Amino acid sequence: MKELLRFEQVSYQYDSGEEREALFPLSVCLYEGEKIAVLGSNGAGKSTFFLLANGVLSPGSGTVVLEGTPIGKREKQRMALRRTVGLVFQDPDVQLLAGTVEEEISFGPMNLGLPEEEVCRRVEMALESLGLTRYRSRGPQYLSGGEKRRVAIADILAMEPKLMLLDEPSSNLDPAGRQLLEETLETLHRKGMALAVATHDVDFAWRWADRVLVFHGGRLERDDKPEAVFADEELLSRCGLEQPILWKVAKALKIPVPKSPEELADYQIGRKTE
Amino acid sequence: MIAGILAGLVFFSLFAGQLPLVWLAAVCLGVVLFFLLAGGHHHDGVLTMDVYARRSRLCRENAAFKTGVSLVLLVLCICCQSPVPPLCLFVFLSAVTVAAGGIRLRTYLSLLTLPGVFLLLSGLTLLWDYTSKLPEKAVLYLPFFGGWLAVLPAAQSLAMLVLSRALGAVSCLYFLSLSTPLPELLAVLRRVHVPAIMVELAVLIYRYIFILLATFRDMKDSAASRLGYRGLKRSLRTTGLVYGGLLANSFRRAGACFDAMESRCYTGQIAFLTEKKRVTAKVVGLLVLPVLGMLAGVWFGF
Repeated sequence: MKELLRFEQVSYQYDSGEEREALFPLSVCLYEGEKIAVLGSNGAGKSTFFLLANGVLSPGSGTVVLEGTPIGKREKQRMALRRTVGLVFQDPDVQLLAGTVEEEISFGPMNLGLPEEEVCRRVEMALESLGLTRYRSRGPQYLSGGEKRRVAIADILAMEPKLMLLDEPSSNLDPAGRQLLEETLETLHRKGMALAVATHDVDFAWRWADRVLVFHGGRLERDDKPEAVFADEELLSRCGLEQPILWKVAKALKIPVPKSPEELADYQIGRKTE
Repeated sequence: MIAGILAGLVFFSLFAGQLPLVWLAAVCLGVVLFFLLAGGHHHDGVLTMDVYARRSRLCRENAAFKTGVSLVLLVLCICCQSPVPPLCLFVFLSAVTVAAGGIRLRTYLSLLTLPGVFLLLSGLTLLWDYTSKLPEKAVLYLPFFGGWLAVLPAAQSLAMLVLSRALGAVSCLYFLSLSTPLPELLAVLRRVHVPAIMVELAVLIYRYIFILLATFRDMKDSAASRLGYRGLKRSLRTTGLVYGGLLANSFRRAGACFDAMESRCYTGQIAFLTEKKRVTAKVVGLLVLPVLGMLAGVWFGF
């Protein structure tokens, strides 16, 4: 796997004068095409991690390395970082600024200084991928929460990053919206995009991710496969997390942990016919 | 209700001495009824206009063309020396907005009451004059603190001209704003090289006014649910707190929004891709007639 983004002892402190450091020296490496769940309670440092990875914040110490090139303080380098790593904000209302969905999605590509036909192509592609074609000339203020979220993702998709960071994309979504979001993530994954999703939803993390980062109090506590992370109950309780429901069920039934409810059903049938 | 009475009064003063009494009464009654029927249900004003503009069938037409024609019509309307052309323009453009645009007549009329009240108030001040001696030609007069409040025929024709011009102008602006969403207007402004800073400010204001309103509504509701508006003193205090909170919220949000823009490679220039809309024969056909009519009106001084 090709390396996309590497953090080398990166730390960051908000200048509010508090003693608590927002992010302690952090070293982590993200690769192409990965599906990463970033877990942690509120204030664990997930958002700070994302803002640093996207270049909105610059590290207090340490280096961010993009595809082998260290990113310094220069504007051009930070632009390169923002171009390759896209960030979908937690609150779509913070992100959306244009009068119509179409204009909104064109904001990123226009900032990249692309020719008009290319911007057009990317806007069409993003509209299509997220099923927003119907809404193209609507104002963002007249969209529902789930639709806004999809526009926010389309915004970033149109910039065609190699890695997309999503900050709690399922917050404020109804079950149908969540379902659609997961399908969207699947679409993005099939496009070959690396995805990192900050979430509180351990069930989702178990279902979807192939790598889990656990943050707690500004530190990266664990970086491992989901199987290893969710087996560590001491870690979970220390970080204010819990086991996915399928793990609890499997523990109660004393069976191996299934990946999906369907798998659980298979197992049960198998046991009865034995 | 007040607007209705005001309208009746203005129209009575406007036509007094010019129409037979029966006709005068009929006109006044009609106007009063119009205001009573058209008013009555409330809007969020500007924000609903935006919704209607997006729904309008004329929304699909080229924004620059609509803006240009509206401005030309506006100027011609103001140049008119007689009340007839502006009134014709008013009727014609209202018909275009309602019939071709697909705005409901009732909605259109109720939106008209807003500028209507201002027009009527100014009409009243134009019509009634205060003099110490009763003028001979006065059509209507009232004794008032030792002098006279009177309506003169000259004032009547002046008020007629001013009101009709204003009405024509309002119909031009309503035609534009009920067929063109604001973002498109801003794109037009950008193309005619209005300074970028102004257009960008307008873009941001347009977007954030909705967010600000939504936040305000939420904060107010949550204060009301905790009985924050019980009694005058407490209401005042709560209102202050809500506004204060709104300010703090806005600051926080401004920071977050700027981060979000930066994260999408914002470098100090807001640029969007705007949808190209061609000038169609339909809209040209609709608007050529009023332009020619108004030109003729100004030229021949009807």
